[in-house]
Parts: sequence; structure tokens; C-alpha cells
Amino acid sequence: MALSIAHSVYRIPVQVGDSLDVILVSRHAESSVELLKDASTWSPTTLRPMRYLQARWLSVLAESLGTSYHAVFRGTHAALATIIVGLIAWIANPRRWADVVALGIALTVLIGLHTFDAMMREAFPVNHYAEVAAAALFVLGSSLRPHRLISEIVVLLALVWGLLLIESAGLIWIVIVTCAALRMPGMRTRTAVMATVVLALFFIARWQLEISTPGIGSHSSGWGGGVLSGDELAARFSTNPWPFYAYNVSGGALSLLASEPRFGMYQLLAAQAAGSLNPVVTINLVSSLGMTVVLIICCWSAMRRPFHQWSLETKTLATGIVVITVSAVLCAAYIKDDIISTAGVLYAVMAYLAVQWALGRLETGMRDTSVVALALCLALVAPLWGFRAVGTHYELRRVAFTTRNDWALKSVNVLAGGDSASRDDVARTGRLRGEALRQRVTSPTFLPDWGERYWVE
Amino acid sequence: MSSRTLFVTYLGLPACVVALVGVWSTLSNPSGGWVWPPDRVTISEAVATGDYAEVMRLMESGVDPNLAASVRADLLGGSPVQLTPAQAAVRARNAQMLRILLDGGVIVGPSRLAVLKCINDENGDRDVRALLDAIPSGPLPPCDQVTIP
Repeated sequence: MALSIAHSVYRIPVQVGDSLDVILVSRHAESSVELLKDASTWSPTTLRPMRYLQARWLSVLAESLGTSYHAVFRGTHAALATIIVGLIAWIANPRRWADVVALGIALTVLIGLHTFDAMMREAFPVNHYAEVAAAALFVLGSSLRPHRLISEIVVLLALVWGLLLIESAGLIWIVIVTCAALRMPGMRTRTAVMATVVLALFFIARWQLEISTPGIGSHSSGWGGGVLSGDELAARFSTNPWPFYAYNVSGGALSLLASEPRFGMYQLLAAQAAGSLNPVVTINLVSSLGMTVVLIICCWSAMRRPFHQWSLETKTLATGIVVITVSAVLCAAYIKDDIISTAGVLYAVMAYLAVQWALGRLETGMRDTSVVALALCLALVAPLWGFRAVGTHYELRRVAFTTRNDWALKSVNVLAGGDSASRDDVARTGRLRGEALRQRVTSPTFLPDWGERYWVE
Repeated sequence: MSSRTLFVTYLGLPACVVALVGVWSTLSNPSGGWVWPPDRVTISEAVATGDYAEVMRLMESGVDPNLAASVRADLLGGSPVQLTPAQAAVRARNAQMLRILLDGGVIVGPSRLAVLKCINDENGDRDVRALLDAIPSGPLPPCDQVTIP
């Protein structure tokens, strides 16, 4: 599964939007230190210098190796997809056939989730959310194992890297602190303290640089069965934003647990208004709700014991619940799939534990009515998640087509920034465009027609 | 085999299928795909499917956009057909693609223009019509005297 998802990700050319400009700008500075200083002041609402630094380092790497930008940028993204799958297998650590089956289902949950699709379809020029998700998984995995100094160092470095990349990396800190609070063997209190110091320094730097957080109206957002523009949101909620925040927080959690809403819009309501419902909405809703029900029963069964009796599996489930909750809160001002993508990978880990637990119940109580209900639920959702996982590949092929076409509709000079573009910018843009055009992709015309109704929301 | 083992195997089956099909399609992709459709198309097929990037790639790699190329069945009709890229663009009612072809050096003489206009009369796209009308030409034969591919 890791191989095929990496292949689907690698087929997507480097994007024009969110990537080309970053790659070009990252090379304007004389040095990485100068870029770090400059990039820290470019945005009034974000502190993401690492975005530019890693774009610079990867483009320099491509040039020094004499390989294509595509190989380096897309290769990094594909490697991240593989690493995320590998980290989940590392955390799962399957030992029996039933564990392997549970892991298989968990990986279809991971790949089939719309939040994973969001991490794979876009790059800036590497997907930052995928980096945060991989770091969060590493923190969790190393917490489950005996403490090692090298893991502790890597965890802190990942936090520093992540925070300078995107604000969602605060979730790495959440995982560190939660694992320490739950007294997991690989996470020391001192690590949590150092991580908290790092986070505090990050906020102090933001304050020093007068970086604010974006408010309501900076983005359009779903509301009920439709979408409100930034202006409409500002007009409706600027005096009292709490209903909007509450709507988004609940929507963020539900988006993961029930695949509804998407970007704040409830497709069931939209379908009701339009008079037609695509099967994809039903498939996603049933598969997500089914898995969430199994998860809730598993969590309820495991967590009603006193804390000192909690197993590592129970603590992992608790960590997942914390990450999902905090991710939902992060959606308060702006809800989108990417923001809950780290919670999505934790959801897949929780799905593994829940299926593993359910299969264990089958061994002991096949005659119990609740166990039969659990088995029927799993029997329904396992094929649905497999179907959704194939849909992610379908989606990524469509994305590859549109991404490649973006390079064709404008000239190299226009893409590079027009008359103000330097010769280096034009040369790099020309090279990126040439690589994108040489990347063969399949036109959606040749993909099965029914795929849109069953896989595309 | 116990009913539990059978059930567990059933649960694992979708993931196994996804994994095996994924590996197979990845390995077979360079030779034309298996699960996923092939990514090799003629220039006229690229035009017919709105594949701007492939059209640009083919033209930049030296493919003559004035020559007819095969278009497989079900893209622009029920059966395979030989069309020039410009004819494919008009049939697909894609004015933006036609503009790219014209900018890219497609030569439209009077006889070719007559064919294009007659194809467009069948389809009736206003933007395509405007582009074709902007191409200077003398008097053109009526459509009943023009052979439309």
C-alpha cells in the first residue's frame, strides 16, 4: 500500500500555485541564514520560515545532484507518504495474523480518509501537514517504546522544525505532553518540559515579530448546506464569533468521525436542497460512522478501568482522543481537511487498536449479541474502507492531470512573475515547466465515469 | 477452518486486494497500465480530452499539429476517427484549445477552414465560431460540398 500511494503521489507534477513562487523566492536570498531572517517577517499572520528554507535546500539538492526538481520535491512528498504508512506499522507492531488484518484495515482507513487525500494532493512545495503528521506518529511510536536519548533529541528537533514550518505543529507538542502525562515509557517529563519551553519561545518570537492570528473573514467557509464568503462571514459573526467557532469546532471533529461536513459544508443538506445525493457521500458517511462506533465502544471498554490499569493501547487511544479534540479546536476560525490531517493519522492508529480489540472479542464471545453486532459492523466497513482507499488513488490521478495542465496555460515568463522576473527565475520556471510537461499523466476522460459519483466529493 | 478464521480472513481481504492491485498497477504502469488507463495519447486525442499539457509537450517535442492523428472510439463519437488537432478542438467545442493550436503554428488554409466551420456548424459553439471567423479567408464552399471527417 505504501508503494502504490507513493507512486500515485510521485506522478503529480510540482504545483504552480503555492509551490513555484516559494521555490523561486527561496533562492533570492544570498544564504539560508539571510532567508531565515527575511522569511520570518513576510507574513503578518504566520511564522513559517522553514517552508522557504526547505524549498531552498531541496532545490539546491536537485541542482547539486544534477537530478530533476520533480524527483527531489515529489520524491520527498512520496517518501513522506511511505514514512507515514511505515510509522503506523511501527506503532501497530503486529505479531499475529489477526493483528495483520487489523493493520490492513487501519491502512485502508488511513489512505481512504479525506484528510490523507488532502495531505497528498497538495504541496507547498512539500506538504507541511504530512511532515507534522509523520512527526506526531514518531513521537507516539517512540513513547510506546523504552526511553532512548536519541529519540528524545529527534522528538525535540521535530518540534522545532515543525513549529517553524506551520502552526499545526503545535499538535506535536500536544502529543509529547499527552504521552508524558499518560506516563508512557518512552516519554520523560523533562522532554515535555523542554518541548513546552520550545513552544513558549515560538510564541514569544511571534509576539516579538508582531504576528497576529487570522480572524473571521480571512477565508470563505462552509455553513450548513452552503458556503459563505469571507465578507458574509465577517458581516454575520464579527460582533459575536462564538456561534461560528462552535460550529467549526464541532464540524472539525465530525468531519473526521463521520466524514461530514467537508470544509464546514454538510453535503447531506446540500444534496437535500439539490434533490440528488451522490453515492460517495453515503459510502463515506457509513464507513466513517461504522468505524467510529467500533472505536467508541473500544474506548469505552478500555477507559472505564482505573488509570493505573490502563495498558499502552488504552493510553494510545487516549492520545488519539486528545489530538482529535485539539485539532477540532484548531478549526475554530478556519475549517479545512488539512488542519485535521494529523488527527486523521491518529484516527487510523485508533482504528487499528479498535479492530484488534474487536477481533479479540470474537475469540471469546461469538455468541454474545453485542459481539455479533460488532462483527457485522466490521464486515460492513472493511470493504467500504478498501473502496475509499482506491478512491484516493483515483483522486490523485485527477489532481495530477489538473496540476500538469496549470503549467501549460501560461508562458514561462508569465509563470515566473512577468517582466520583473530575474533570469534565474525564468530559467528555473522553464525547467520546472519542462519537467511537469514531461511527467505523463492520465486524462480523467479515460478514468471510469462512475468514479466521480463514487469517489469524488 | 473455524468460522472466526474465515471471518478474519474476510475482513483482511479488502486490504489485501487494495495492496496487491496497488503493487501490480504500480509495476505495470510504465508498460501502459493495467488498473489505470494508459497515459499515451495522440495529439488529437490530447486535444479531444482537454489535455493542454500533453498538447504542448507533443508540439514542443516536434509533433506536427497540422497532421491528422487517430482518435479512439467514444472520445468524439462512437467509432475511431482520424482528425487534425484543430478539427478535434472544434469537435470538442474547446475554443481555448483551438487558440493554443493557432498560436502554436497550426496553418488553416481555405479548404481546412471550410472543414472546421462545417464541423462547428454541426456543434454550434459561439466562441469557436468567433475564432474561426477571425481567420482571414476568401469565399468558402457550402458545407454540402465539404467532406467532414
